[in-house]
Amino acid sequence: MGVLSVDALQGTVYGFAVALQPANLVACFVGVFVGTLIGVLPGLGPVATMSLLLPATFVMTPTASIIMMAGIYYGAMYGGSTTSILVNIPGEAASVVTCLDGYQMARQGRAGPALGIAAFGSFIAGTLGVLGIMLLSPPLAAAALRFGPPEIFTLLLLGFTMITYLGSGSRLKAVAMAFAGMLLGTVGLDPVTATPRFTFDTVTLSDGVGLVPMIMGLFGVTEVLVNVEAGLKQEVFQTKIRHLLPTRQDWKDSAAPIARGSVLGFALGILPGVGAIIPTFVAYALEKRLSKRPETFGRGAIEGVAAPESANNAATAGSMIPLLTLGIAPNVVMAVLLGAFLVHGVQPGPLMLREHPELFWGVVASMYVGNVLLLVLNLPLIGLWVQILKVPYGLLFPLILLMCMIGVYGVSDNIWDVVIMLAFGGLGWLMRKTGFEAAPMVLAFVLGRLAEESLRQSLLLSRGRFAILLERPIAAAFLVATVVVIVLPVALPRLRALLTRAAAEAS
Amino acid sequence: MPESGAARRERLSALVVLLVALAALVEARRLPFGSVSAPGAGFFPLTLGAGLALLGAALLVRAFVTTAAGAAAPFVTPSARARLMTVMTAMLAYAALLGWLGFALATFALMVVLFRVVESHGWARAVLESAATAVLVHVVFKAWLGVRLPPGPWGF
Repeated sequence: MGVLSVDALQGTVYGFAVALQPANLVACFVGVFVGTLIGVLPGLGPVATMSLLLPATFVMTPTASIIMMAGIYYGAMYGGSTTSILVNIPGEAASVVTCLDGYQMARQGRAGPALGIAAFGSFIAGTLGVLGIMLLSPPLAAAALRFGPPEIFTLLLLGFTMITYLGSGSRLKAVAMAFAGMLLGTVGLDPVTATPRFTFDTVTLSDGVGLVPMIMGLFGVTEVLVNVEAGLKQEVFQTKIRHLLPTRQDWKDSAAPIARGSVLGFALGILPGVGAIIPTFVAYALEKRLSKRPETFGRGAIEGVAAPESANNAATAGSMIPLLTLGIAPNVVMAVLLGAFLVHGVQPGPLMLREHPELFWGVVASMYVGNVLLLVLNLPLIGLWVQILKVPYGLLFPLILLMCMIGVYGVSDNIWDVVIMLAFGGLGWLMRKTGFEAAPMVLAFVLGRLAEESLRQSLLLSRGRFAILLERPIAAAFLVATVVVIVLPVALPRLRALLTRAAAEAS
Repeated sequence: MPESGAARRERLSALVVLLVALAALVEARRLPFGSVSAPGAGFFPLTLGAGLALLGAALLVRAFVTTAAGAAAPFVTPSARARLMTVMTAMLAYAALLGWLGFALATFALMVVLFRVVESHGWARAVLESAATAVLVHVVFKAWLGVRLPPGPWGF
């Protein structure tokens, strides 16, 4: 244990030396700034933005690129709350819950403290989260080094099971989307024998379906189509924003919710398939349960802003852990980040800590730097973000579409990828209309190839006996956990009812 | 009993899932399956296709059994449909013409359509906004960030 913390300490010092290099500092600043910007704007999320800026990172070092990409993600978490509080539209999906009490606070003339506590809560949670990454990653990476194909496959199986809890809709549909995503992942050359599969003799498809066109279509184009259909109108709440600093009473009310939200968000964020959205619902429900005056929730309770805003930032940090230590993307944003690693020729996973320490520790330390930047920048810049909220959507959406096109074309230089993106955009719109969710599909798509490889290798190893998945202790543990995840909600309908009630109250 | 739009939507979407799965199965059967002890290229797709087919069938059954208490809201209103069709057509045309017209000109044309037709800005305003967008994006992405974008016959 002593050795471990010395490692973490040395790594941290080293990481700060990397993160504070001018080029990396600029990358961090650009990342959190762009992240806040798109977090503020409804209709453009971190997933689409990160894919969009991927081609722009080609000229940067891998470390600077990942620092910027990560900055966009947690920056968006900060920005999303601003829109929720002032406009009652979530700027970003993980800020849906913040609308409930944040907008009410704004209507009562307390927009300032709401924005302030959201920023401070995010800062505290983000900082604790980074600390968590630093302490947990080295031992996890060391353990993961002993993973063979059976362990990887059962871990992925656990991940897929959790993915189906991702959405709020029908679980059957989510499972179907996961299968469809994995099928899409098999398009292209077979990873073992290089046999073409589902390519229909086209060159474009023999490389497989591209992650970037798929994500830009499903998240960028679809979002625009939905908004064009609905004719989105936003109204900024007209108010003078004063007193951003929360009062002593506000702090007293928020301290415990921020602490609980941070721990909860971090722990849930590590789990595959959870992402940053579910922790906000759970944190909100928890605070309402624990509160001495639950009736104030939904009427401008500051705890209702502090807890979910802390939870989503801590979850952001937590979700970095599976990617950095296991090379497995636990949610869609991490899938894009994984893509960014691969584009720069770095395979994240247990070996990364040893082979690219500057990348690992630099990125982690940059998240701390980024959180400080966000706090220092965002409180004075609130006025600017409010102005940006007034940009009419009619001016915005052609630009978003154009950025999607350039982003996709810039990555591959292949016009067919633009067509594939548009097809996914249309598909995504139809899926929205029929209650199928895109996230399970994208995640299964990303993890599918690894799942296939590890399963086939396991079977080769065991000469066709599936029992190998039960005979190795770690693999068996993952398998048991999978069964528990499937059985638990059925066995404990009360838990399920609690969660759905929380979700219903929050939506 | 009049059929609700929501119920029909459920059935149709379940049917599409089932058909996609069956198509995948047909295609995957042509791949070498190998054996369980040495799985080939067709092993995983075939398993997935079968799973998806089962799920599609389950969704279809569920769509017939449960009566969705859906509102009678239309799938998409006529005016929204016109807007959506314009956006999609314009972008497909953009993809097709990008190589011929070059990035700057094609972008200008696309932006005019989007600003003018979808957002009903006036001609002068739409042309001005589009020209500004095309120039700005050209400078930022092509000249500054060095993203490869097709030049067209006149070099921009």
